[in-house]
Amino acid sequence: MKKKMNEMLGELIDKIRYEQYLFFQFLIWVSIPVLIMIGILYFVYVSGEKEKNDILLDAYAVQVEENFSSYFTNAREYYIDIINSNLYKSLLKEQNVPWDRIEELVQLQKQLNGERISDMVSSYYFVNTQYEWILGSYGMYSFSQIKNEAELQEFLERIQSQPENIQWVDNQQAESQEDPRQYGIIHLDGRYLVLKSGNLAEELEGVLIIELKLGQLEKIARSYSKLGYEVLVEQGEQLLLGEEPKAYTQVRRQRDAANSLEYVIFYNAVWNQRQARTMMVWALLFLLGYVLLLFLLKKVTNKISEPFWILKTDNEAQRRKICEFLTINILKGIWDENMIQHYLQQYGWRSEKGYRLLFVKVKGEFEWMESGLPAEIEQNVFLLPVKYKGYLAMLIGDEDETKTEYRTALVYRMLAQYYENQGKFIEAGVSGYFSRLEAGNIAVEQCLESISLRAGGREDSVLVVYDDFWLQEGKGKEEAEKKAGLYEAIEQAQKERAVELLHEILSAPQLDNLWGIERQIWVYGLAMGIITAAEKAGVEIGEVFQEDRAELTVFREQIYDRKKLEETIKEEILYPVMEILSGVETSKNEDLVKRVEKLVHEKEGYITLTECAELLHVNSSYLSRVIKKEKEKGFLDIVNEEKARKACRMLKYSSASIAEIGEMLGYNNTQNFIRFFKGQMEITPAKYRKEAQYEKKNL
Amino acid sequence: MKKRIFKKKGFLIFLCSILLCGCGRREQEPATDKNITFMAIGLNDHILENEGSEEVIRQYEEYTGIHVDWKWVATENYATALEYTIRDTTTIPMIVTVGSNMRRIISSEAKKGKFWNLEEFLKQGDLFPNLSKADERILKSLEVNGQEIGIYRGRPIGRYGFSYRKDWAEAVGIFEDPQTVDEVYEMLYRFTYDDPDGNGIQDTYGLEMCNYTGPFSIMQTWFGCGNEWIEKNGRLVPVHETQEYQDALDWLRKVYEDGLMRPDWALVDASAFGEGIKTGEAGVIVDVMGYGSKAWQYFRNNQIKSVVDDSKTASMSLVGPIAGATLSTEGYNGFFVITREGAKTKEDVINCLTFLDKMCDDAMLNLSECGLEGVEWEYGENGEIVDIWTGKEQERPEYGLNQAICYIPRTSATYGLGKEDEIEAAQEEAYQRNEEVAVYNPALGYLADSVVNAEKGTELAQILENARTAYICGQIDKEQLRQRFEEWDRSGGLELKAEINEMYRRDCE
Repeated sequence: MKKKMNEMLGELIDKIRYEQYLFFQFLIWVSIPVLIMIGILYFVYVSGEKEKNDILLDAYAVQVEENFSSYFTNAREYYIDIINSNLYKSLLKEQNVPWDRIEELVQLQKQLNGERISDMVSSYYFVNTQYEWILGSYGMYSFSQIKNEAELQEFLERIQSQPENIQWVDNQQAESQEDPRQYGIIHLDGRYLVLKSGNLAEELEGVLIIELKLGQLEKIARSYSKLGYEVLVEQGEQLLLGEEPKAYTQVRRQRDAANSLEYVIFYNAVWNQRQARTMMVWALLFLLGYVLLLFLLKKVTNKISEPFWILKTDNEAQRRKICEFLTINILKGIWDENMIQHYLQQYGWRSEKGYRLLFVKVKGEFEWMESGLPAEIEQNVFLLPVKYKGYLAMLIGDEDETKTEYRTALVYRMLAQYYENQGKFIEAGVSGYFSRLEAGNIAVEQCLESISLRAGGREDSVLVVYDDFWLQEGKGKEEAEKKAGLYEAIEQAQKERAVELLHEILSAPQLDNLWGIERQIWVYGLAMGIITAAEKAGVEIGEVFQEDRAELTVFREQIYDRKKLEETIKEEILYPVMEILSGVETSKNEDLVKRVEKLVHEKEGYITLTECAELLHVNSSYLSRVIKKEKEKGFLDIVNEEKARKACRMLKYSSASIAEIGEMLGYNNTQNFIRFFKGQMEITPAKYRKEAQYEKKNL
Repeated sequence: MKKRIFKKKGFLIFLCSILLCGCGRREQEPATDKNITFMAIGLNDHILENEGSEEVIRQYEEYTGIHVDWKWVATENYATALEYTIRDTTTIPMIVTVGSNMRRIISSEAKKGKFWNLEEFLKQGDLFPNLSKADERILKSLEVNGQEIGIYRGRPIGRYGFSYRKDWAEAVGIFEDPQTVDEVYEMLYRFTYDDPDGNGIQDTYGLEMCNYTGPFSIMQTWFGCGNEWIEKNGRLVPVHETQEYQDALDWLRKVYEDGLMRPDWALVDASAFGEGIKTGEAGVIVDVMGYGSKAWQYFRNNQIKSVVDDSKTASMSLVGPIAGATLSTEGYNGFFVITREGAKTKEDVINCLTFLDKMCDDAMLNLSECGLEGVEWEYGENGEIVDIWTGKEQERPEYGLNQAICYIPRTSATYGLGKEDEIEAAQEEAYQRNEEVAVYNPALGYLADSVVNAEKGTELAQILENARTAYICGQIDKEQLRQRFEEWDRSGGLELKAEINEMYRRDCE
């Protein structure tokens, strides 16, 4: 599961290309702070508001009480005045519906309608409970005329059961159908201020029922509501105004004893949160805008930067440039370790535990492969191969010394192979092992020193290791002398001495300290030394090693057993070389010269040294050397002698003219033939013929 | 060559975000070079905020060819705003609406001659085909110092009249519309006692009545009584001093005594007026014909069955005048003045009047009645206008925009919504009948200018109303009624009579 996730993540990351990566980076760097900011703002806002609201709530509660209580007090006192008026009292005494007092009732209606408390009353009823008649906004009836008397009675009972003289009654009926404007309908659906009259202990005489317009208060409540505060008016359990909010966080209660009311003011923090949410929505919109902007920006920059894409795609070249720059600076040794590490880190390269520096030069020519080296070689090189001081310089690093050496050997071998495939040979120098790159310049010197000491003069590839014993004073002096002796013995074809010296060299105790590439390089050096010496002695190496030299066990395998190593070198290199150099060599040479003379004779002198060497399967220079050694004269002499003998025969036995004979022998110019013949025989052809004919005559 | 200028169009770049807030507000450039400014009464709080209102205004301007800079002021603040506007000579609009009961606010400015005298303009029938047909009597009532200071906002003159429940009448054996006072009494009596609803209970009344006593003033005219004031022997006399008034009150007192209206009518709030007809408690209503037609509509909408024929719905008969008379309305509701400081040249005045005149064309009347074609109505199969508006009335695009119309000479379009409807047609006919015989108040113009009336008018009217109520309800006798009239005289009535007659005399000279 986790693996799959990782894979998916990996895929995702792969998909995100560079510009998208930038895009996301921009996005993240802004989005995250903004989101955090929003969170903090939300918190700060909400908590700040809560504190502020506590204070405001206190202030508003007082304000509400003032506003509301003055309203209710006003209304209450106004109607107390009315029930204390003589007209009202006289109406309580009316035993029948006072049809004869209509004019007075009209006046009373005006008062009840809140003539002096403008716009506070929406409806009213005066009920003479004792004599059962009622005066309302929509007419005057005796109880018997009322169509819904039960409703009225119910209401009257309800208010009678309450002890207060003045009370607020919530009589809102949810399913109210009746229209109070209809004839004979007393519809009590609302919130009423009720004032009772009469000796209450005994019997109720009359009731004044006033429905106040609460619109004014609702307006006030609404203005608070807009700020997030809900105002309620309660009488005991009854709710006269407002609605309890579904949720609230803070509440204040103000008691209005005079009106026996309580004003409750709620604050719902949800309101705050809503505000805060609005804020957040804006912030998110802002973010969205930002994303949009980035997106557009991306689109636009993509469009604008099309020309630069080439540069971008040439990123690899850039990387190579940087690598080259770093490597060269390391080799120059102008940076200290910190600086180097800084640069490596900056460009995202990991440094290695240790390094060797490899200098390589292609023999005989000074021409670089501009296309670079094969990737499998470069892969093993730290940073990149660079051109430095006329060499191809390669830093090769790994996590320990041994591994570094393996890698160096590997690189060398691959390089050698690579160039040899092109028919070229390389000479290479390896520096000592070093772990700090600031020592790059010293490594360079070591490389150069190695090469200058041992390279050159040889046709095939050569590798010199700076810390080769041979190069190190003291350590390798004795060995170097022995090696020199060995090579000398080989040159002089002294087999026994060579074998003896080889044994001595291989039994040197230092050999036990040679490991890995050093050992290999050492063995390689020794083997190459023997071969080189043999070559100096005139051995045609091709004659010795029919196959590729690299196929030899000595070069292929790391042989740690001394005896075996000695045997291998003897078997594979020393004996074959010595064989050629020693006795076998002499007989072979005599034979070779005879074969040359035979060939020249067969071809009647019409053969070159090269042709001859080819026919005899030997190197022409070797052949030339052998002839000189055996005959103490050159190949040309043999040819000339053969030619001269032929000329003599022809002069003696043929009748061809001298010019014809010269022509037959390849001389277009008779003069040249005469000169040649005279040179060979110390007599002119004509004289030779005369003498020969004379001799013949004499026979 | 209409140009549209996009104002306030800009981009608000907030930080580096691109919350693009394109705030484009479209402003109409003048369609013509004829510009006027107009201060009108806004019926609702959200004047011109209804969706489509701008389109209505655009059509106004397009039709009239005059660009108007509107200044809408809400009803509740209008009087105050008018007071300020009329005195601020720098920003005063050309046309200013003066609402009903606001005449006093502008009276001193009117006397100073700050408004154009429209007399000569209104005579030009070729320029103003509609306005030139304005009612002379109403125009007269707007005169100040003999100058025609305004053009009234016309209302139907014959709105007041007599209506009754037709199926009830049939049920009690009356098949003809009553013509005389006696026939009316007969109808009221039968409606009360002949059980027109056929439920066997004596629970009906003849006359629908409440503490709004307007109906009495209408019924008075049936007795030849004037409309508040009457001209007698070259003098203007308040009607309560006439015998006709006394006759009318006696008759009404008899109607009350005979129980032909509810006994507690004076204690019934005016908001209940008309309910009795709808609920089948009363059969006759005397007031604006609208009460009759609304009740009729109510029967129809609520499927109230006719008491004589179950298959039909109950219906009303909109009669109008009785005994060849009915009360006239004032015939107008406020008026427009054209200010000299706003409209500096005669050209301006002509532009103002052209706008007002063209707004009285059928097309504009219909637009203000029915709203936008395609949005609020469309033509039906027979070419009739069918209302397709589903929203609230207050949200109609044209709502309140008819405040710019002076309804001269007609108070509604000759075609439009429901014009072919039976009820609507009956009402229109009744209006016509009423208008022909409507009794005007000859003192209307003087009362508007009267100082005494302004100070004591309400109180005086109250005295008369209380007296009338008390007399009809039998609380006072004739002698007491006479004493009340004397009280009226003492409370300022004498001064009022003197003042009105002084103005009248001056006018007549």
